Amino acid sequence: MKALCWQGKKKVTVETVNDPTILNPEDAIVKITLTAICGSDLHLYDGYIPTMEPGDILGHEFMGEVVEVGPKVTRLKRGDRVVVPFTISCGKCSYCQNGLWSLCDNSNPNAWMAEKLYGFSPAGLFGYSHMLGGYAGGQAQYARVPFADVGPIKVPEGLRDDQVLFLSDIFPTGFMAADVCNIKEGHVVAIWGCGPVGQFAIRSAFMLGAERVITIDCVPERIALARKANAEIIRDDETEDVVEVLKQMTGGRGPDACIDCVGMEAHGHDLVSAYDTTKQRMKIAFDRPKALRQAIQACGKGGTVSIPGVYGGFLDKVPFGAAFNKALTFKMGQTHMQRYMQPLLSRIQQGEIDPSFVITHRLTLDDAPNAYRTFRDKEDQCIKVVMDPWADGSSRAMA
Amino acid sequence: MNTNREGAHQYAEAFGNGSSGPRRKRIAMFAAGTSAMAFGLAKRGWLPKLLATGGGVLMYRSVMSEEPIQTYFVVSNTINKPVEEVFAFMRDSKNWPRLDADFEKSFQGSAVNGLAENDQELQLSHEVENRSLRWQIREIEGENEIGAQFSPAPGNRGTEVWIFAECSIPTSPVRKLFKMTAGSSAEQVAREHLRHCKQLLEAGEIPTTQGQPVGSRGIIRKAKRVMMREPAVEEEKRPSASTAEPISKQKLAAS
Repeated sequence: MKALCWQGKKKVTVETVNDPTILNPEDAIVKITLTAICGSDLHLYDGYIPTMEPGDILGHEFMGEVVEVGPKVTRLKRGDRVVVPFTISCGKCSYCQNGLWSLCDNSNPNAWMAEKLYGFSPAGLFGYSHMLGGYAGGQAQYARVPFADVGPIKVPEGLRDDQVLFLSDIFPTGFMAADVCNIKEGHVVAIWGCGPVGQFAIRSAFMLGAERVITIDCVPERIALARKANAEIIRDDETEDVVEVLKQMTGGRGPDACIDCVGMEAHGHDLVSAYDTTKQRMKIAFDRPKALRQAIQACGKGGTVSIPGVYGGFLDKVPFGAAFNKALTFKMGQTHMQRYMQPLLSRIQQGEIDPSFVITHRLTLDDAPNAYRTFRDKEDQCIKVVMDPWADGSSRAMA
Repeated sequence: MNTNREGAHQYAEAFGNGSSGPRRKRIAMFAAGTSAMAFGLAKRGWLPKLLATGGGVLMYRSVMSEEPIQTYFVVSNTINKPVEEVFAFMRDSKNWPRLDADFEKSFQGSAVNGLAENDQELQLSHEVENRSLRWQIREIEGENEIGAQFSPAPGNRGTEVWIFAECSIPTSPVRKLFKMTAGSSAEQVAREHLRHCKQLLEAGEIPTTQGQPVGSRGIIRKAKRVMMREPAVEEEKRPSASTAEPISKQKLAAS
């Protein structure tokens, strides 16, 4: 089969690899019909996530048709059309049973690596480093799905692939980011980053009853898409002090909740941002937490800081004194996918939202190496790339 | 518990709290060897050179020679099953080879495949039903013991399990360092076996990625294979369809 493989920093290649096989009795094999590049894939592409190895197959947002199931799979059968969550959960450990699916105790074969860095291991993820499982990802024609009875959800007739694909990650991630903020009537929510997760966080915050959503970004097409959802905009490249502007926009109270949809590769134009970039390039820091610093500083007293953006290591100059003295609540972590997929599918079925609004590029797998670069550099007004792994695009992509 | 070829020895090669006797001796040997070598190399004549050679031998022996080190470690985990079920599973030595599935694949046959060999090395010496188990390690003199203790976890979260080992096994500092770096120290092996026990009891299977498709690995990756515990899967020469050409707007079919 064809698969997109990580080969080092800023180098991904489409290769012919062996087809996946059933390795455990609860596995299923899915023939992938649509896959996407996630913003967090760019952290891998840029080489900021440790324990990636050349040859690793990327991709954690995918859906397709079940073509084979292991002997212990009872809920799925051949021919089922499914969306596969990016987290892998066993469904039987105490974390899964308490709804903390992304903290599954049993799905990471390399838990010992994560324990070295994080103390404990979260769930295994598709295509996201050996430390988080080393599972082959879904930017390929087929994927093996462990614990197939627990993760994938069946897609009902009448819904297009591009309407449900984002149930695999970014829609539930954006929704959970807003959900954990405990939004109440009249609340003001500030969201850093209008990328795909940010777009879903904006819409989710409104769905959950936010009165106003204020977003912070500087990319015109992303801002335009946020405006379509009635979000107010702060352009951070044109604003000297985002925190002060937010304070003014909220009558001096500050937002009730702040959501950091940027994560470890925040951009900035000031001295501290240059310092962050230098440290990251020198490999003495994983993260550039500028957005998080602003979110903590800007958040109103007693508010919530929600962090769906990915962070990898030890954060420098995070204003924890502000967090402590304002009694902020922090919510973060990989998305508890199984908690949100079915309810959000219902919202899509009811026409409350069509997640395909975020797609700007429809490509083939052969286009993936260039699509990564286009997405990372925010060229060609790129917000979200989806790829059909079976479409023959080699003639288009090869010069 | 242990099913590797080295059997119970792996558990005993822990880097945990060990007797400081051998360590002091090694440090003294290394210091003396370094001094002799430095002094010998700084002087002319055959006697100093002989001294330097002797110093080199001392240094080598200090890091490479295998001497018994008394080690002790404890690892623990919580298994979301009743105490009776966990106790019965761990007491039954027929279950032990199942815990080593990954290692068997990783080291391609180096793992012990059957119960018989385990029985030769570990002998159940003491048990209190649903409370504790102890095994004596055969063929090793002195205090050599592996044990397990069980306790109901608070909040109805299953069973807390502790695995402990205390034994004296010959090892060298270099070997110990390599095992620590590779994540295959005795403590880590015990931790992984306990985790596999939890995975089998809770999820019914040990998660794995061994045998899944991969792209072409680089030379460095191949060297790291042992550390990542991957088997040497067949890696064919695969064509790359990568391109460095930028995508033009015409090629990008915007929705």
